[in-house]
Amino acid sequence: MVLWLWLTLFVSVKTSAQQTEIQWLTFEQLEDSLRSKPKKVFIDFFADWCGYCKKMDKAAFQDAKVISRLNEDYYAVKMDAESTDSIQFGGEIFINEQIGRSRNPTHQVPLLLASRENYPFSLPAIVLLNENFEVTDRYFEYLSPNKLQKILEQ
Amino acid sequence: MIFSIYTTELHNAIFAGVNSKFIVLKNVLFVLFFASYSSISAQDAMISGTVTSNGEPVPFASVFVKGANIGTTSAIDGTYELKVPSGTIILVAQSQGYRSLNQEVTLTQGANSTVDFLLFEDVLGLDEVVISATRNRVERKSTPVVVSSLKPRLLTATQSITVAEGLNFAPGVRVETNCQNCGFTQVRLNGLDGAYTQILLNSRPIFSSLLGVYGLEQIPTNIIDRVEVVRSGGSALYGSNAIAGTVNIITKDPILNTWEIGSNLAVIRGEALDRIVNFNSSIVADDLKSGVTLFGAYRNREAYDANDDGFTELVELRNTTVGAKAFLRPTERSRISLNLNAIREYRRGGDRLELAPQFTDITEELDHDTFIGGADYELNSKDGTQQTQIYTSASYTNRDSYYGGLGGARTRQDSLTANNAFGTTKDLAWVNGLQFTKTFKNNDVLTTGAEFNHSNTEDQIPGYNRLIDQSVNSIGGYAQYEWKPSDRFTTLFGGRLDNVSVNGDYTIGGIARNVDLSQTAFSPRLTLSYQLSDVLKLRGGYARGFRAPQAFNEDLHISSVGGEPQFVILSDDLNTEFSNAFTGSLNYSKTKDLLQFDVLLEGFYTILEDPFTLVSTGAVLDNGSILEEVRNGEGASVYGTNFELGLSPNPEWRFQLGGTLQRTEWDEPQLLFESDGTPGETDIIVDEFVRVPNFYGYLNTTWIPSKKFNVDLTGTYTGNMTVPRVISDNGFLELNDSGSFFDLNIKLETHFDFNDAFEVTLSGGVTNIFDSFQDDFDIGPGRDSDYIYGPDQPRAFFFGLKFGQLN
Repeated sequence: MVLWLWLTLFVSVKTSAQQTEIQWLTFEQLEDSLRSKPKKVFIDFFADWCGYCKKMDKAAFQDAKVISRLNEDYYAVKMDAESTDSIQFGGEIFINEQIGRSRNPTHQVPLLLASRENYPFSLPAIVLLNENFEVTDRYFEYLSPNKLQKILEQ
Repeated sequence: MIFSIYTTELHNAIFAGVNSKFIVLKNVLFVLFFASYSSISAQDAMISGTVTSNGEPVPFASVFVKGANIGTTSAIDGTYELKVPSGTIILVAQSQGYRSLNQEVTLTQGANSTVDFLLFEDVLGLDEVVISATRNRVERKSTPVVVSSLKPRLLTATQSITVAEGLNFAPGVRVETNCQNCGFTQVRLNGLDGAYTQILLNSRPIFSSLLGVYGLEQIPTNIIDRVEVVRSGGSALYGSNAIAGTVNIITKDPILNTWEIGSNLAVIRGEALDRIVNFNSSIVADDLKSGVTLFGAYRNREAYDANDDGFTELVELRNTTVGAKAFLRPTERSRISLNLNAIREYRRGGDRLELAPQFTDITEELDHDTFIGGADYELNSKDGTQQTQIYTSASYTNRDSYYGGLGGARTRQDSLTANNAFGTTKDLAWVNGLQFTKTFKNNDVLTTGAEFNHSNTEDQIPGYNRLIDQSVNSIGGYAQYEWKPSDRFTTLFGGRLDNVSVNGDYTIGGIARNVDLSQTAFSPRLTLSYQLSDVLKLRGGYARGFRAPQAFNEDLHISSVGGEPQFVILSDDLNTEFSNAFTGSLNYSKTKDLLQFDVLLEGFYTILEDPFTLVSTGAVLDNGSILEEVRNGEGASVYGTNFELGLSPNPEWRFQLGGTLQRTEWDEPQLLFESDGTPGETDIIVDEFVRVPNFYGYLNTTWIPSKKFNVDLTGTYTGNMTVPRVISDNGFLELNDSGSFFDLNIKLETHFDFNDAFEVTLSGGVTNIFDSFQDDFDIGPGRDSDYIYGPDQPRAFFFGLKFGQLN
């Protein structure tokens, strides 16, 4: 009986931890995680002013299927595209060079991963990479829970 | 281990599988990522250069050949290198936060050229998207006509409770209260009064003649995304009467689930309270395919008597607005939107507001019940180059009115008249339209459409034997082509063909008039714009417009003079009024270091032929009321300049200064009052328009040291003008000089974030700090209620609280 209680408690704690929240990593944490165990990577760039990004936080990133899929199959990384921090990754230091020169200073990391031909940098920007850290897909639009589910299942 | 590949191969790996190109920099492979880059065959010249801004390199700027799929991104030091075909090409450099820059380059085969770019920061929102100029969404800086956009930030900063108050902060616009008894306001644009400006709600002309009188005061600012003002007739596509310009009120389109409740209290000269509560909330589906915004506002303003004569200068006002705006996207390419609004507004001015109106000396009491509803369907073609829109929108107002009172005396006749001054009004405006837009490969745009508008107004006060029973139908078709023969030159030409039929009966006392006409007129439109240099843009335009004779909004308004109501009636055999509007402007925008500077200098010249003009015929009605007739006046012209100066040294500070310098001229002296020969009274004739200052303007300064706190200092200046005042029972006028007014406001605001879902904003300040207010109001029951001018309110202290999930 006690064991059964413990088990259910354990299972429910574990599933709720998995199901209610995406375990977002920073780029520094990603580096450590990749080193210990290669996995697919999901990167979400956002900014203060980006309404669609906020909507994704409230919709797609709260969706149970998306959460479990991201937590199980991916390392999920979230980064403020206008962050002023220096980011150490892969032996390099990336900084935000546009501070003081633009009203929306974009950090080097999102510029590197989410720049497009003939388009100015835009948000939301979502980048998917495979186990070898190769970009497999990029999305520059709002993704609904259903759309993101389909993308993550591919 | 895995990261040994990172610095050397990671970036290769990043874009493996995509046709891309890489450059090695600082041991890091920065990615120049261009699909179909290598598939271009005729790349036989090399261009290289540096992209800089303020002497600093701009990394990651897109540099590409316009119209071709060839491009690259500047490196971390701003340099770039690009293989291009020989010949003449246009090279574009673009980067977020900067204004994009084009350069024409001619290249010979095998040659190497250097093309450097100097980019400018986009601080004053010059790249923002506007609709009004061409009825399609375009970038503000590239619009062929000048569009001034008022943002909610400014409406808040100026403590504008309704749109009417905020409009003073766009160049060329002046809003003024025109009646002490009912507080009716007029938007005056480029020196012309309200009837020459078309007011649109979400680009639809739903403001009927009646709504035009009080409608602007009935729209709360908390649902507004922005207000776009286009001056002069460059915007003739919106209607043949839009000669002074258009004011397009655009309501919010939500993405997030939000809610907000706000309240505001103002104390006018320490006496009268103005209380407001408003809310709005949006719910949008996770797939963004449907959503709704609900909003409401309640306002209660006490009447204020500025000169202690027992008669109001500011009317008592109670307004309740509720509404909803919903949208649905049945497919990726289509969208249906629906909106519903109900406005209940009560206003009362005069004396002894606590009594029933028939027991007072003067009362104007209006109870509006307005319903506005509309639907809109939008369909885009697969490739996004064609768009079809169908819309219908209707507003219906039911109004109870009281215009009258005992008028100072207490005779049996006065009492009888006072008891019969109740009236009713029914007003319907119905707008239907179809619009088709096609964008061609060379970016030319064709817009065509058709509109059918119907309006019906029935206004009656049996006690005065007053009747306005008017029906107006108009069918219009328009076409416009935006031609861009070169990158520097854009021209927009087109026109509209309208047929207006008016059927109206107008009666007051024993006088009856009617209009029964059908008029067809073509209104051409032409706009040219030329980019003189990177910083200088020249624009010019011409538009012709017309107004068929009918009762316009001001003609429905009844004021009071000498204790009796003053009526307006159309005269017999009115001709259609035509107008020609010319405009030219020069826009200079420059960025130097962190500073951005924007100057707009605009000239306008408007000629009116047979303008509808109010002429007072004196006290000709049986009950001693004064009658004003709408007649075709002498020809007239209005000309002048609007200027706007914007300066933002950094994001913390923003300054804006704008104004209008103008002159109005009647071709021949214009009759304003026609004397009946009473000794000592003569005809009153004017050379210039009355109630139009030769100089007026605004300023607006914002300091935002942090997200938590900001200060706004805003103000308007109104120069001298001539204001007529009735000084005898016959309606004889004197022409007074108004003096000048400077209305300065300060507002402080502080903001707290408790968490993502709950934020609070507190604000407080003073409007009209110097208490610059008219000081020669007429007094007593016999006063001329139209004799009111200048700032709409004396000094007031205010406090505001707003909370919710504001985002």
